[in-house]
Amino acid sequence: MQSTLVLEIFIGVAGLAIVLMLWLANYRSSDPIPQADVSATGYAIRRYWLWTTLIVAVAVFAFTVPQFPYQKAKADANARHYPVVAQQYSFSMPSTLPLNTPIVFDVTSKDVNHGFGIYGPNDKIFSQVQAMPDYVNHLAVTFTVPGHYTVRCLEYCGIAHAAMQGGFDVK
Amino acid sequence: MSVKKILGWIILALTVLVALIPLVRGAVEIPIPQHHLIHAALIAGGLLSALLLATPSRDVGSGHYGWLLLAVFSPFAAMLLMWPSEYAWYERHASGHILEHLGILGLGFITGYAGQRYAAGVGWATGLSVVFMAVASAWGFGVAHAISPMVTTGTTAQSAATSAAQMLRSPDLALGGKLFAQNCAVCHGAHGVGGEGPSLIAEKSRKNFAQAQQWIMNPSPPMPKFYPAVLTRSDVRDVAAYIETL
Amino acid sequence: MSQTNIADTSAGKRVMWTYMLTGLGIFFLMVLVGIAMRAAQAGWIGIDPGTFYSLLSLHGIGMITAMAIAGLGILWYFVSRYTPLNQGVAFLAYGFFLAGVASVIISVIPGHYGALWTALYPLPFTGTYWPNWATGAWLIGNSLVMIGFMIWCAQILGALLARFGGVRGILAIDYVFKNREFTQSGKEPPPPEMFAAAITAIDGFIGGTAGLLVVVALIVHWIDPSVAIDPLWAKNLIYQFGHTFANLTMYMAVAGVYVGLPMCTKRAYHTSIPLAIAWWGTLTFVIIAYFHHLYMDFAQLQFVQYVGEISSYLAAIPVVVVTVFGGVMLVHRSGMKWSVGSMFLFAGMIGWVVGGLGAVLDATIPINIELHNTLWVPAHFHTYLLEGVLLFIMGWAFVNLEQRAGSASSLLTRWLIGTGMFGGGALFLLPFYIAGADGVPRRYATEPTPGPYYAGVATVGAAILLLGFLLAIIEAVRLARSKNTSVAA
Repeated sequence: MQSTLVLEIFIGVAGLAIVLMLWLANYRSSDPIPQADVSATGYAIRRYWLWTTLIVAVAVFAFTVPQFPYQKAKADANARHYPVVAQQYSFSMPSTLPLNTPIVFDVTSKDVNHGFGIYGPNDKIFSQVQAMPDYVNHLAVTFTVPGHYTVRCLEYCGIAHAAMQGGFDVK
Repeated sequence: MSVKKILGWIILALTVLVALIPLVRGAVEIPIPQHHLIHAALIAGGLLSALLLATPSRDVGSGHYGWLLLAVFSPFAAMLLMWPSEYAWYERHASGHILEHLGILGLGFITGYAGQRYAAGVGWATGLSVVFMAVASAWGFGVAHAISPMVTTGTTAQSAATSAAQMLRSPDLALGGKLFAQNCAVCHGAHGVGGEGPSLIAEKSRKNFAQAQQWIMNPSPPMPKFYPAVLTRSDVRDVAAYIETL
Repeated sequence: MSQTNIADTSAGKRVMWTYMLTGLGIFFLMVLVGIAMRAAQAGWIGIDPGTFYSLLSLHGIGMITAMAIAGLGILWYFVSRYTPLNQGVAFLAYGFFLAGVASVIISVIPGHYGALWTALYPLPFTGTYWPNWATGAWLIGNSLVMIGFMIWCAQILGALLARFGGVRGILAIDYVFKNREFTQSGKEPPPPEMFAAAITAIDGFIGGTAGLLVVVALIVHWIDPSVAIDPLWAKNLIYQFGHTFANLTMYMAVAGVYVGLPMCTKRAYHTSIPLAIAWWGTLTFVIIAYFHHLYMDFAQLQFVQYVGEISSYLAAIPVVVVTVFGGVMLVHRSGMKWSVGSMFLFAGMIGWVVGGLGAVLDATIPINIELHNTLWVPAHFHTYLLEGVLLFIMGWAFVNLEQRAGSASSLLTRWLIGTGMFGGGALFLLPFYIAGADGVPRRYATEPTPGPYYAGVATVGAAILLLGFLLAIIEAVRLARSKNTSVAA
C-alpha cells in the first residue's frame, strides 16, 4: 500500500520539478536581461530554498526514526520466535503461522547472502530482511490478514535466484 | 640535518626494532586480528618515517609516473603480504617472520616515500589508505564471524523450536554421514575404515574440527577437491563433524 | 585563477577525447546488453539464467566504468587548464582501465562468470556455474580498474593541492570562514568544477581503498579457500566502493555543467559560499551514504543505519539544490539559443533531480522495507546515469563540437534526438519505477507478474532511446567534420 503512495509522490514531485525547470528556462527567453539582475533575485530565493529543503530533510528523518524496524524484535519479549534458514535455492521455515500474534523471524543462511522477502496475499511486499551466513537477523512482524504468503529471495544468490521461492499460510 | 629528518630516522629505527621482536620472543600464537593490527603498526611506523624523511616534490606537472605507480601498488602488495593463513607458519619460523615484518614495514615506507616524491600530499593519501586497509583487515580478512547467541528475552522465545542459530551452530551429523557415503567412502571406505585412501578412524586425534574443515576445503593431491563445486561451506562442516565421530 | 589563466592544452584535449570516446564506446555496447536482458525478461528472446547473470555482471560493471572513464577524462581536462599535468600518468591510468575491462570481458564471455559486480561474499565462490579461473579473472579485472582509478585520483589530488594551496585551498575553507579578508586580499576561490575534481579525487581514493581491500581478501580466498572472510565486513566494503564509485560518476560529469552551460549562456558560473558548503556535504556524506545498501541487514550496527538515512539526504540534496538552482539561473532569461549541447546539459539537470528524488525516497528506511532490491533501485540509478551523467557527458561533448564547428543542429534534428533520448528514456524508465513499487524484484532472469509486461514496454523504450543515441552520434560526427565556417573571432 505504502509503495503505491511513494510512486504517486514520486511522479507528482518529479513532474512538478520538470515543469518548473522547463518553464524557468523558457520564460521570456527571447527577452534577455543581465546576469546580475537574475542573480540578485535568484540568490535571495536560493537561501530560503536551500534551508527549506534541508529542514524538510531533517524533519523527514526525525519523523521516520520511530518507524525503523531494528528495535522491534527486542521490544516484544513475548513474541514467538520462528527460525528461517535460507540456502541455495530454498527456504526452510514453518508452513503455518498464527494470525494477529507478534512474531519474530530468526533469519540466517547456510551458504551465501539471500533475501527473505515476504509477499502478502495481495502479492505486494509485506516485509523483508536479509538472510546472511554467520549472522542472524531478527525480523518482527504481526500478520493481520489471513491467507497465503509467498516468500521470494531478494538478494542475488546464484543461477536459480529467480526461482528461489517458498511460502506459508497465516491462519 | 633537520629535526624532522632526525625524528624520521628515530621512528624508522624503532619500527625496525619492533619488527625484529619475533627473533627474541620465539614461537607464540597470536590471533589473526591482533596479528593484523601489529602489522598495521609496522606499516604506520614505516609510513610516518617516510613522510618525515622524503623531500616532497612540488613539481606536479612533470611528476614521474614511476613514483606514483610505486605509491599506489605498494598498499596492494602489503595487503598480499598480510596473508592470514600464513601467520601460523610465521609464528613457528622466526626468520621468515621477521622477513615478512620487514617487507610489510618496507612497503609502508615506500607507499609514503614514493607518494611524496611524486607530489606533496599524495604520500599522505596513499599512506592513510594502506594504514586503513591494514587496520580494517582485523575485522574480517581471515576472520570469520561467530554466530552470536540468540536474543532470548522471554519464556515464549525460549520455547520456540530449534533456533536458527542452533541449526547453524551444531553441524548435521546425519547429513554429514550421507555426504561422506556419497563422496568420500569410495576412497576412505564405508565409515572411514580405509581403502585406496587412508583410514579416518580416530582422525580427531590428528586434526581438530577446524583443521579437518580446512583440509577438506583445500586438500593436497591425490585427494580431490570437492569444495566449493560439490560441497557447500555448510556441507564441509557437516562432513568434518561426522569424521570427528569416527 | 581568473579566466585569463586558463590554458587550453592539446594534451588536455587529447586525454579528454580519448577517455570520453572510450567511455561512450563501452556505453554503446552495454546498452545492447541491457536491451537484450530486458527483452529476455519480457519473454521475447530466450536467454538462459546463467548467460543472463553473466550479462548482468558485465552490464553493471561495464556501465559504471564507462561513465567513470568519460567523466574522469572531462575532469582531467578541466584540471589541466589550471595546472600542467603529466599526460603519461593519465594514459597509465587509462591502460589500467582497459586492462581491467579486458580481464572482466574474458571472465564473462568465455568464462561465464555471473556473480554480479557487487558480488557479496561467499559469492563468487559458492554455487558457481563457471570455472575457477573466471572468478580470478573477474577479481583481477576489478582490482585493475580500482588501481587505475586510484592513480587518477592521486595525480589530480597532488595537482590540486599544489595549485590551490593545500586542503584549505581546494576546499575554499578560508573563502567560507574568512570571506571578507579573503576577498579583500584579491584572492579567488577555486572555480566550481575544481570542487567536482577535488571531491572525486578524495572520495574516489577512499572508495578505492575499501574496494582494493575487499578485492585483495577475495583474491587471497580464491587462491587459498581456507582463509575466512566475515560476510558482513565484505558487504560493507563492497558497497562502500560500489556506491562511492557509482555515485561519483555524477559528481564527475556535473563539472560539464559548470563549464559548459556558461559557454552556452555567455554568463559566468561563480563559486559561492553555499556551493562550497554543499560540496563539503557531498565530500563528507558520499563515503558513508552507502549504509543504505545494508538497511535490511539488521545485524549491522544500529547506529550506522541512522547515519545511512541522514547522510543519504545530505550527500545529495544540498549539491543538487545549489547546482541545479545555479544552472537554472544561468539559463533563465539569458537569451541562450537551444542547441543539442545546451539541451543535453539542461535535461541532465532534470534527470539528476528526478533520479535523486527516487534515490532519496528509497533511502528512507520505512519506505526501503518495501522497495529494497525491487526494480525501484535500478529505476533510480538508470535515471541518473542515463538522463543525468550520460547527458552531461554528451552535452559537454556537443558544446565543444558546436563551438568548434561554429554552427548548431537544426530544429528537426534536435527534436528527433530529444524525442529519442528523453521520450524513449521515459518509456524505458517508468516501467522500472511502477514495477518496483509493485514489488517486482531486481536481478531476476525471469520476473513474476507483472514484471514481464513492464519489461516489454521498457524494451521498446530502450530501443527508441538507442535510436536517439545513434542519431546524436551521427550528428556529432557531422559537427566534428564540418570546419568552422563562421571563422573564429
